[in-house]
Formats: sequence, C-alpha cells, structure tokens
Amino acid sequence: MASAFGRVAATRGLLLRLKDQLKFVKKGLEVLKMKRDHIAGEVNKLLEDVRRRPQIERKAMEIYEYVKDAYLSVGYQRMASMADVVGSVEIRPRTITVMGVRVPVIDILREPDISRISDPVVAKAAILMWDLLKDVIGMAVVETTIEKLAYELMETNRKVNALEKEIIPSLADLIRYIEDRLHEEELADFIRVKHIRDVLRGRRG
Amino acid sequence: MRGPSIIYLITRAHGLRTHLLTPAQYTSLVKSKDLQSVIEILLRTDYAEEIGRLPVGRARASDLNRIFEKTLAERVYYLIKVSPRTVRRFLEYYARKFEVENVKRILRVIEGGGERGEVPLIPIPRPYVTVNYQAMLEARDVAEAVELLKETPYSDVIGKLASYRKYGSLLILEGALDNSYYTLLWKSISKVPDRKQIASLVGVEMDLKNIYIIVGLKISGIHPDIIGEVAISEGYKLSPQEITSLVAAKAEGVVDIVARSFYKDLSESVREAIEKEDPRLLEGAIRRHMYTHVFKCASRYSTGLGYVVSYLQLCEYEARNLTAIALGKELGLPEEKLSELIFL
Repeated sequence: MASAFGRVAATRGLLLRLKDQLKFVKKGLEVLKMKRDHIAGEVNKLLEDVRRRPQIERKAMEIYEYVKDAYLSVGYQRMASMADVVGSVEIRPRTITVMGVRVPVIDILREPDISRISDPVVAKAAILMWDLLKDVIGMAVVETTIEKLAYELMETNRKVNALEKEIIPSLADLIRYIEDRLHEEELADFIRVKHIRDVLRGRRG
Repeated sequence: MRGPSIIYLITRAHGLRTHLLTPAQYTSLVKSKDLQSVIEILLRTDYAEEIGRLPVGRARASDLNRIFEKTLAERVYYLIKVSPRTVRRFLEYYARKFEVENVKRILRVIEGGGERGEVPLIPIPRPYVTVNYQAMLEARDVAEAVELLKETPYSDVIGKLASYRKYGSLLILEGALDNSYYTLLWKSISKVPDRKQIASLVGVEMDLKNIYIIVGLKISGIHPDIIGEVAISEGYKLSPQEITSLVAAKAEGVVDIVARSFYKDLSESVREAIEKEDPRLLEGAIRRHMYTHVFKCASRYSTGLGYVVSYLQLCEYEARNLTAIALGKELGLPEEKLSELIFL
C-alpha cells in the first residue's frame, strides 16, 4: 500500500489536510453531478424538438414541390422580380450561457414582407418557404445547442467519473493508509512505552 | 370589306403561326434528358440565334427564360411593325404589357431595397418605350419613381400614391398599372375592325386575370380594401356589380358569384382552391380555360383580326411552355409532370 502513495509522510497534519480535501472534492462531485443532471435535463427537453426534424424534412420536400410549381407557373425572371419586393431578412446571431455552456440564439430582426407579392401562387410559395426557413433556423439552433451541451455533458461526466472512480477512492485510500500508519505508530509507541515501563519496573524490583 | 393591309396582317399571322413549335417538337422537348438536350432541340427553331449566343454547356434555365421573354416581345413588336395604322394603335397598347411588367419589376426592386443594377427588364424597341427606366431606377423611393410616370400612358398610377402610402402595399401600384393597361387597351379596341373578335380575346383574358387576382389575394389573406384597389375595374363578361361583389364577398361567397357568372365552369376550381387554400389549383384552371378559349378563337376567327390576337396569345403560351420545360428539366421534373404543365 505504501508504494501506491510513494513516500507519504504519515502525519496528523497531512491527514487533516487530506480529510478537508476529500470533503471539498466530494462537494465538488455533488456540484458536478447537479450540473450533469441539469445539462442532461436540458438535452432531454431539446430532444423533443429534435424529434420534429423528420417532420420538417417532409415539410421541406412538400414546400420544395410548391416552390418548383411557382417557378414553373411564373418563370424565373418574374419569380426573381417578385423576390425583390419582399426585402431582405435580418437576423442577429448571439449566444447565451446555459450552465456555463455558450449556446447560440438567433433573433429575427426583420421578416420578409410577403404581403407585397402580387401573384397569389408566388405569395403562397413565399409564405410556405418563410415558415420553413423559420423552422430550419430553429432546428439549427436546437441542434447546435444539443451538440454544445452534449460535449459539456461528456466533459462533466468524465470529471464526475474521474472524481468518483479515481480521485475520491485514492484520497480515501490515502487517508485510510495514513490512519493505519498513525494507528500502527501509536500502537508501536504504546508497546514501546509499555516495554520501557516494564523494564524500568524490573530494574526497580 | 377589309383593306389589303389588314388581309396582309392576317395572312402574316397565319404564316408566323407555322413558326410556333409543333406538338412533335414539344414531345421531343419533354422527353429530352436534360437542359442541354432542350437547348440542342431549340437550336433548330426560331430561338436558335439567341440561344446560339449562350456559352456552350453553361446555359441555365434562367438564361433561356430571358430569351423566351425577349423572343415573345420581338414577335409582338414585329406584328406591330407590319400592321396597318388602324390596327397598329391597338397592338401598341397590347404590347404595353411588357412595359407594365418592366415598370413593376423596377418598383419591386426599389420597394424591396435590392440591387437596382440587376433588374431583368424585357427588351422593348426604343420607339415603343414610353417610360424612362433609367430615371426610375435612380429614384430615391417608390413614390419618386411613380412620379416619373407623369408624362406616360400610366400617369393614372400617380393618383394611387395616396392609397399606397395609406396601406403600405405595393400591390396597389401594381394593380393600378394593370388597371391603366387594361383600361387603355379596352378603349383602343373600339377603334379596331373586328372589334368583337378582339374584345372576346382581350376581355376574357382581363376577366380571368381579375378572378385570379381577387380570389388568389383572398386566399392569401389580403385585406378586401386592398383587393378592391388592385382589381381591374373594366369587365367583359363580368359586370361591374359582379366585380364589386367578388371583392366584397367572403371566400365562400366568391364561389357562388363565380358559379352565377359567365365563368361558371371555373366555380369548382375556385371552390377547391379556397378550400385547400391553394391558388395553384385556380391558376392552372384559369390558364387552361384561357388556352382553350384562345385555341377556339384561332379557328373561329381564322379570317379576322381575332386570329392576330390569338396568334399573339399562343406566342405567350409558347413562351410559358418553354419556360416550364427549361425550368422543369433544370429542377429534374419527371416527363409526366412536365406533360401536364404544358399547353398543347
């Protein structure tokens, strides 16, 4: 056992320090577990949204067909001209922090004004397309958030595992080793004292 | 008794119709494997000269669409050039649909704040241009651009600026341009020989456009006040009361009005489009209705000026068919779907 800890000075001071350290590490473990559970909860919540992905993909295919029909109906040049009228979409990407993880948020600052389109088929295609684009933006945010959270979850889990399986057991073992050593030393001292006392008593007697 | 110049014009239209693509050519186009094959077929038609200028192997459907629009305009302006004075005025008004489309494209790009140097305008021969496109493109805003229409046939549009500002919708100005176009065109018919034949073609086109715009905008949820401003005030088989009722009616009521009108054949398509909130269903039915009408008129009025207008409308259908084929090939549409989309 001694070899596992190298040349450890088994002193009461070190034992107290190690016990404090173990208490601190255990508290840290608790906090990390709480963080892990919270992140896992967040990921779970987002997984609900990710399940909508096949639905969005199906919707995208339907809308793609509609947009194709609109192109075929009015032609490329008129379609391009009608696209001019809606104005540009303005978005602002930013990040927020969830349990110390920076995740993306996209704010839509300006929506296209589809009501300006004079051809009803093109207008309908634009309405569907903008609706889809909002879904796609939302899905991109959710997927990126999950990716970031999953990475953090993996890191936290690794830390929890390291604390639980390595650091805490080795600290506990070290404490036990030092306690044993101190106990042995106390016992040796006691026996030595007893032996000396017996020798002294023998001489007097 | 028609004058020789009118007979010449009608005969010319008959001759020019033979330049339109045949059903066999359409079949080859639809069956062609890709856009390049479409181009190769078109190189044996009237489009060869323009298409031949495109970079080999790099032409896109958008380039072809531009060529089809240009060729269509050229066909119309060619007929104007060979027409006698009595018909020329009407044909000039008829051809203004290209100018109206160009003005709309300019207004759209100004309204949307897009790149003004990239507006794809339909080329119009200089003697027939009544609008200063460059000045319009340089205008600060839509209002300033519309003010430039002062000395043009579309000066009525300026009067709609107040409504445009009130509702904040460019639809009002686009509607005003259409109104201005059809009003002038409709008036010009009264001075043309065979006016009944021409009225039948232009009038049905105008009515159908009105039905499409009114019903389509209702499906899109546009406010009835705006639809009222956009609707074409002139009518052929649609009376002013019917137009007003169509504008004011709720979606369900529109079906009944159409069912009682001259265009009762379209009522089922109107109902379906409203129920499914899908203007495509209406658009397809209206185009089909118009095409059938044009085709019938071409046979019925084969010796009158109605034939000339039928020919011009068939040219429009050809441009539309070719655009659909080119885009369809580029987008990978199956043959069956493409066959359904073209008018033969």
